[in-house]
Amino acid sequence: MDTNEVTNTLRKIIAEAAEIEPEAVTMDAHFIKELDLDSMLLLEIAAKVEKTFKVKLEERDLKELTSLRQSITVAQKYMAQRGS
Amino acid sequence: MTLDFDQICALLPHAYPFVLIDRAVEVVPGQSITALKNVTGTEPFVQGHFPRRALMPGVLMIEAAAQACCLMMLAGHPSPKPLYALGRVERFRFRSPVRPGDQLVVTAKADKVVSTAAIAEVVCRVGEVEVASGRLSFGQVGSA
Repeated sequence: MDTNEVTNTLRKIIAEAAEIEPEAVTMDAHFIKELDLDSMLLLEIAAKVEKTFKVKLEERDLKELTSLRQSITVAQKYMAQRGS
Repeated sequence: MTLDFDQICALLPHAYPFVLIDRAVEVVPGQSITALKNVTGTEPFVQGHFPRRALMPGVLMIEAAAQACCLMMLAGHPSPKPLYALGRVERFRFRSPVRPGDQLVVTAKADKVVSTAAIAEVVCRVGEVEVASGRLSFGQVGSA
């Protein structure tokens, strides 16, 4: 999966959780301060990221899920560890 | 692991008339649970829901499922036990009425667990019939 695919997939996951259009999920929009996500929705995003990318996120990395850009970094780190 | 009613009452922060699980027949702490609620004609809600057609309210099925999830997280947890509160109810559907005489079998399976919160998929059955299902998120709000 290339960076564009990762970005589009994550954007869709985040938009669904925030109940907004995918276009509204800009690269640096802060999940809590700007997209009105809460801790429960962030956990839901983490669960969907795990299923979609077939990875298992460590709890410490959940704190890094603060924007689309940060989420791409986290997802790609795990995908690289997995070897895809 | 199994839990009888006395053990359930010791684990849950709830009290009468709001303890909605009678027994847990299988608990894998932090992972899954199968729990029972025996619905009777003397439940407090029967007086008003409804006077001539007793039905277990759907919101109480959600609450029973939430309590089952709570037990799944609290069983085997060292003291002090955390206090969990429901944070999100998603895709809950009610497919068939639950009435006095029914035994509600609640199964929950953790989908994502972190130290302070969890998400679980839950299914409620009466006999072979799936009467309700959905997804619950809950988080710690302190200690019990």
